[in-house]
Amino acid sequence: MRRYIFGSILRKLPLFIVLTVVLCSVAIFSSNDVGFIVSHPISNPQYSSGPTDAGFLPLIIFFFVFMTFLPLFSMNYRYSLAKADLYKQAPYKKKSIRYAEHLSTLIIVLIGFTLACLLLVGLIAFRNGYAKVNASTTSSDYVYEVITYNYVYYIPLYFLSVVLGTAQYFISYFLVSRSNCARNSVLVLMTGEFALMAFITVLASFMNATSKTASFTYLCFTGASPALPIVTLTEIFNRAIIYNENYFALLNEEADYISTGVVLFLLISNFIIYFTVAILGVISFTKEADPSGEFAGKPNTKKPYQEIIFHVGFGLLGTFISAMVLRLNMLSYFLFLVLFLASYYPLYGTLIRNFKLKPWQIGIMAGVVLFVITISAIDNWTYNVYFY
Amino acid sequence: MIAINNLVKTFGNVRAVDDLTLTINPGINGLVGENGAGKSTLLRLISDVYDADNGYIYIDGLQSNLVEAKKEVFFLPDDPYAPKNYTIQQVYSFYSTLFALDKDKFLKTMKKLNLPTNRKIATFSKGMRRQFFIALALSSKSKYILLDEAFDGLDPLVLDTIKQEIIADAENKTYLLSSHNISCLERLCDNFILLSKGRCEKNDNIEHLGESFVKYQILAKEEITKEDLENLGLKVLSFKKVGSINNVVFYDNIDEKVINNHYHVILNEKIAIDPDELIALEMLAARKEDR
Repeated sequence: MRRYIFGSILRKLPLFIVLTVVLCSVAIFSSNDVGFIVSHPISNPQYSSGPTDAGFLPLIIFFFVFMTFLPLFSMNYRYSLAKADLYKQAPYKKKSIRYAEHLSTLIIVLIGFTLACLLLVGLIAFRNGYAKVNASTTSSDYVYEVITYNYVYYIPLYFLSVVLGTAQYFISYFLVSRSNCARNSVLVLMTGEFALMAFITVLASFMNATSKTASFTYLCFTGASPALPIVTLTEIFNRAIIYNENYFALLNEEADYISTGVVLFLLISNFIIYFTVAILGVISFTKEADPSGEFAGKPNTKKPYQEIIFHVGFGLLGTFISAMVLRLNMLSYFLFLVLFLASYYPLYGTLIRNFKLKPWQIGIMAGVVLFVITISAIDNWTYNVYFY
Repeated sequence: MIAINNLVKTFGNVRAVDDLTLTINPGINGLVGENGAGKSTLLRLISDVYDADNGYIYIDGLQSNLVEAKKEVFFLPDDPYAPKNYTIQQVYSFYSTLFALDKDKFLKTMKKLNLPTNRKIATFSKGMRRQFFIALALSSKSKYILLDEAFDGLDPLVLDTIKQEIIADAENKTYLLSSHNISCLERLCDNFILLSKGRCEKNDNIEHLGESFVKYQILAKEEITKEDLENLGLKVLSFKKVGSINNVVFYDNIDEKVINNHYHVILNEKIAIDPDELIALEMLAARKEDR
């Protein structure tokens, strides 16, 4: 087996090179931001106390994006009959092949990430040294503090990122392994990740609604907390889709609705959701048997949860976008609904590889569409009542 | 020895392998049958690519999904996988991380087949690609070599070389070669396994195939039809007109007088059946039996 794992790592060398080059490039660009913050600390008040994730943030985002999509790559061995013919007859336990394929990918990406982190920390050290020499007399002590704090901060952050990145890998594995064909795996991965992010975002948005706990949530969101990678994705999601405005500004402006205890509960709920899916992924990775070879490259709709994940994720995506569009105007909203319906049927038909839907399947689709319309209408009503 | 007991494999509503019980003995075995008879499915079941719905496969007494049993089997499918951008040498290395292969033997076979090892596999023609994979299968240290439609697209010269290699290699190995093209297996196999609709219709030495069949060349003044012969109570397996002569194969020995008395016979002669034709006739008999 060792020979096989070694061979698998060798085969993935091009992937390793691409990953490492991308992550190291991100590290080089990120180190510019850190240099800027250190040189101009007064103009960046959000970093005026406590640790800062600046510099690490883009690296973590890229790392998480890779961790999200790489299970698709590792699952390659079961996406065609020709590959199934080769890998399934190999004189190893079938699970061993799966372990070897995924673990070799994980090793590769973790080595790439570690190298990029070392490069980033090295560059920060270099720039900080430069900043110390050039810093003005009045701010040099402050600059020194930030620098020393950051060194302590980066090491645990690295390990937290590795743990959460691995969790993210298994979350994606769970989603991707719902199908044996690449196209369906992509569909389930995208909709499943969206559903997960939507749940986490809903919880996170409750936390935003308090100023009393702003400093606490601020630390949760930006400090040395395991929430960082999740919240990083949530933050991007929030900014891009829901709020479309400065995230930090929102934290300070919202009214005080809920207590710290509730925030803590919501924060823990976030972790519970996240890690439950990750644990499901690990269980599926270690316990679930690979399907028989004839299913290679085929949708295999008998796989559990495949359709549920698709409907939930696609429905939530539709709900979020339609709610956002409804705030603009009714015409755009109706146009979006038409677009939503026009893409729902072909995507679902592709997933089950049968465009002749049964009545119960049409019923589920109708239910999802009704859900999208209802929730977006309620959202629009509350928005008008409470904000105007 | 490979022993198969009550093996069942279904795809949806289709029973591709239907309660199959079979023993595969050492030597070169030909696996023949019509398209869709279950040949490829059977090979994939033996090599553990497919999971059986029911029944067992034992390889030298071990269940086929055990690692020790899998080590003894090398299956070459009709469309084997190889990364497109790899050279032949790299594909060999890739396979050698998965299977026990004999490099010297591989290089010798490649040399005999005049195949370069430094070219990319994507630049190979279909026939060359097929030759390379057969060389790879021949270099396998496994005891049981299963080849699915292995000789498709090979020219007669290369086919002859490969046959010689297989015959030489089969002294201490068991080969199971599937093909719908019987002429490829001619003068190669010691034993034939005939599959029809997922069931084994025949598993016998070539000498025992079609033992009961008899072939006649018949020429008469009158027109002879298959229906007429059947109306005379004769069991016709195959009826072909070649010019004015009728080539008729009967299931069993017949009383020639029955034909002679009914027609103004010019020629009614019993002739030998080619080994190649025998297999085709067995397949035809199996098909008729299914109906």
